[in-house]
Amino acid sequence: MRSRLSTSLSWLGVVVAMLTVLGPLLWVLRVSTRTTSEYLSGPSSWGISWTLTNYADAWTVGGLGHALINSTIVVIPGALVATLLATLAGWGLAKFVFPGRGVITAILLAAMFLPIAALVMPIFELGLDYGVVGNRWFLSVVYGAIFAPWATLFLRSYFTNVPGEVLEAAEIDGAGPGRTFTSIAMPLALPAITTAFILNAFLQWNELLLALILLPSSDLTTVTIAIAQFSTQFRTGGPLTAAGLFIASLPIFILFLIGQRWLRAGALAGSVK
Amino acid sequence: MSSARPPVLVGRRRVGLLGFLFCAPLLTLVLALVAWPIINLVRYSFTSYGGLTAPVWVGLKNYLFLIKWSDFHRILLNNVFILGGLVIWISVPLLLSIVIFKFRKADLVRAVLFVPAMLSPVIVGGVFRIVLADDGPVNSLLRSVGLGVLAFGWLSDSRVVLVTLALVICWATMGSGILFYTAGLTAISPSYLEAAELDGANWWQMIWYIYRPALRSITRFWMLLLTVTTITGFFPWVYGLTLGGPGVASTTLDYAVYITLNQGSELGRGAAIAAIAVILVLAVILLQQVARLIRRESSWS
Repeated sequence: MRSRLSTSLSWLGVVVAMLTVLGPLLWVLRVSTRTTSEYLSGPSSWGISWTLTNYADAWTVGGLGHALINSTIVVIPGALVATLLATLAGWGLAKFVFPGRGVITAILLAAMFLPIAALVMPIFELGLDYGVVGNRWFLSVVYGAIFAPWATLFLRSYFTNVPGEVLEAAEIDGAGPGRTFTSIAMPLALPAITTAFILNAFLQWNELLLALILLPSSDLTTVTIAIAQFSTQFRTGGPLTAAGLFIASLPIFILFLIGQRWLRAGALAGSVK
Repeated sequence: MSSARPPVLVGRRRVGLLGFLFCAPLLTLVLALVAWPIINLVRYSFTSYGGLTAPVWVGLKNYLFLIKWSDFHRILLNNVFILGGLVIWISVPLLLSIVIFKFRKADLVRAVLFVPAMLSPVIVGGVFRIVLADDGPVNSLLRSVGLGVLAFGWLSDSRVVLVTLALVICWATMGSGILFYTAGLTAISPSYLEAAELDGANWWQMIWYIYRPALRSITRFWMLLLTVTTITGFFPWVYGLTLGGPGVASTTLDYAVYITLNQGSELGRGAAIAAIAVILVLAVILLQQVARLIRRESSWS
């Protein structure tokens, strides 16, 4: 009896969870295919109209095409900088003993836990001093610095598992430290490095506060800003907003789809070792 | 074969400044764009600064102002309240992962529940602004099944808006949590579970005495991840869902920093708010460490 009760309760829990996840998404998908006037006449009904014009309108009204390009221009270099620096430093911390190693680790840990809100104002002032506020590459570099610490600690723990014998063999064959890093360490850690890159791109793509403050010009808005302002300003334009939400989430879905293989390999390699 | 000199090894690790060179690029960037700004933040927090003229040293004035400002009390309480969301952000994926683990279509269920984890906070905010609107589908559904009393102003009632925020964050993060807990579940030996079941442990006892301790390292990792991705930045959630309203009912410290930056006249005060946000995060991490120590002590005695 008891087990039958708990089985049906757990079924109920999972069904509720599935409905809670799918319900809102399906509802918003439906809203995105209604005409605005028909939606406004009954925002809580399923509605009768079917249209795809909202997607085209959201694209132009929200300037989503432009915003997608801006986001890409900021995030690709930003994630590359963060991943490259993290790979180098992760290797240095994992395989070398040198004075200041503990201090560097402590600085990275502290940096990882800092709220972005604590950094935004002084970074803005710093940017003003050097005249780089409103430059997309400045935001990339800032993202590179802010999102590198966790990736460094992630890659360090991965590199620690690279057996010392492999490195000794490389050295006996005459490979210098640079060569060992590029032709032994990096290929071995490729799944972990790719995982770090994908998650970094994800975090940077979603970042809002620094993007709002450091890219004040509306020509340079990222997708995240565009969509946030979209849904807060066009409060009555339900269908338009709904369509914009789906367009804006597409790039990340594609990123996860492409990266799935790598993410799984990275996680697997990390857990098996 | 070149003249490879024997490397100096300490437990298979090389000694020398080479390792420092590998860290130098990252260290430079982090010092310039994280450490130096934080030092400046503390300095700004002791000044009166409007952005146009040079900052003027005012000592503790900003902090004293905040102590007396009733809106700030509410903002600080909001932050502490949302931190309480950790309880559901951890327990919901923990329980769901255990239940789903025994399902035949477990992979499919987990894939569906992971979808929200791929949405950015502002998109999640946009979705729930539509779904949880006062005249939206959730409220009309509640009214139609006779639960009209539960048809709250989810985003407009200052008494429920923080609960809504915590639940929405739970909705968006549980997919990742389930993923990590599932990885932990595969590592628990089935004989361990069978033994507990033979001893007549009921469902709750299984969760509390078997699964919870066995998954402790996953919980610690998940808490760390939540701390880094969510607790250090409620901003995009608040901006996307409520814009801090109604009034300051859902304003968090980081949203308040944004408001002061946007107004631009009281930057010193904004810096003080940001400094308090740092202290709060440090307090959370310290509490986690203390809890760990206490647990270790009690397990020894």
